[in-house]
Amino acid sequence: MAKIIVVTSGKGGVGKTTTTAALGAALARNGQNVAVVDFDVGLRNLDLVMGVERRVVFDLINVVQGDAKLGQALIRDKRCENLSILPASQTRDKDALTAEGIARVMDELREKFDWVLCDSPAGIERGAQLAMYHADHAVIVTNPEVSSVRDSDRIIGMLDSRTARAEKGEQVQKHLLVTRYDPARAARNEMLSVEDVLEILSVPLVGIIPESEDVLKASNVGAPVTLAAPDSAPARAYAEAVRRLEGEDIPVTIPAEKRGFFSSLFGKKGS
Amino acid sequence: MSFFNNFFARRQTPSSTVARDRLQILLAHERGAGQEGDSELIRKLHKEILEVLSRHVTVDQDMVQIKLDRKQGCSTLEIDIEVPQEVASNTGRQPGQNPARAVSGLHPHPRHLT
Repeated sequence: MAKIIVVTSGKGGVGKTTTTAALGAALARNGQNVAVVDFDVGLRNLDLVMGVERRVVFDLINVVQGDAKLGQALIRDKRCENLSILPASQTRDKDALTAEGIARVMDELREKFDWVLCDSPAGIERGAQLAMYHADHAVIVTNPEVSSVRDSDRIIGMLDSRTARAEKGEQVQKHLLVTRYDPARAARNEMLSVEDVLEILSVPLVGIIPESEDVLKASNVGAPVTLAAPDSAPARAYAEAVRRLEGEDIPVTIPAEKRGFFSSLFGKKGS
Repeated sequence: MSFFNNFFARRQTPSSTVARDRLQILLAHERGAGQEGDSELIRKLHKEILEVLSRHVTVDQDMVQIKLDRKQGCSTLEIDIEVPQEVASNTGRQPGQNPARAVSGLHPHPRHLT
C-alpha cells in the first residue's frame, strides 16, 4: 500500500514541480517504487521537467475517463526503472477530472507503488483540492517570501478541512519544505529566516533547499536535480528531505555549495 | 557604495523583521475571519443589537459595523454605530455635530468611548 503525498503550495512558481520530480527520483534511488502524478491539468509541466514530454501518449484524464488503462498511461523513467510518471492532460476542460474517477485511479496507484507523489496545481481551486484529497502526507513548498507564506497558510487550512483524512477526523501529516533559500541573504536579515517561517506556519520542517543554479540546469535538460546533479547542494537537501519522509530522524541542515562557508554564516544567525 | 548602504541599513529595522511582523498580523486576522463560529456570533450580535437599538431610534442596517478581533491573550469586539443626526440632537447634542459613534472594547477590560 502506497503512501500518497501531495506537493502543494497555493502560490505558483515556488518549486512544486521541481520538488515533485526531485523527491520522486530520490525516493526511487533509495529503491522505492514511485509514481509521480501531474494534477496540473491544462498546464502540464512535470513531463517536461522529468524529460519524458515526447513519450506521452495517454494522460491522467484518459485514465480517469476510462479511455486508457493506468498501465498504458504510466511512463517509466529511463534513468531509474522504479520511477514512473502519470502526466497531466493539456485539455482546457478541467471538469474532465471527476472525484470518483480520481478515487479509482488513486486506489489503483496505491496497490502498485510504495509512494505516490501528486504535483498540485497552483491556487486553491478545484484542481488543488482534488490533488490533496487522497493525501496521507503533504509537502508544503514555501519560499521565504511574504506572499508565499500567506498562501501556504491558506493551503494548510484546507489540508486540515478538505481532505479525505480530515473528513474521517484524521490528519494529513504536514511537512514544510522551504525552497529557494539564500542563507547569506537571511544572515543579512534581507530574507525571512527559516525560524520565522516555521514560527508563523507551525508545520514541522522536512528540508531547506538552497537557491542554486543546478535546479535550472537540471530542468533545462529534463532531469530531476537529484538525478542530474546528485552531489549538488539542492540535490543533497532533497535527498535528506526524502530520508525524513521515510521516517529517519536526522537534523535539518542547509547543504552548502562551498563547504563550510554558508553553513558558518547560517550558524552565526541565531538572533 | 555597498559599505555605506550597509552602514545606514543597520539603523533601520531589517526588512525580514518587517516581513515577519506584517505576516503575523495578517495571518492572525485571516485565520480568525475563516472561523465559522466567529461569523455566526457576529451575525447574531448584529441582529440583536439592531433589535435593541430599533426600540429607541431608527437605525439604518448599514450603519452598524461589528468586528471581532482575536489576538494573543485577548479578544476585542468593536461595535461602530452611526446614529442619525436628528436623534443625536434630540438627546442634547449640538446640531451639526457628526453622527455619534460608540466604540466599545470587550474582554479583558470593557472600555466605553463616546
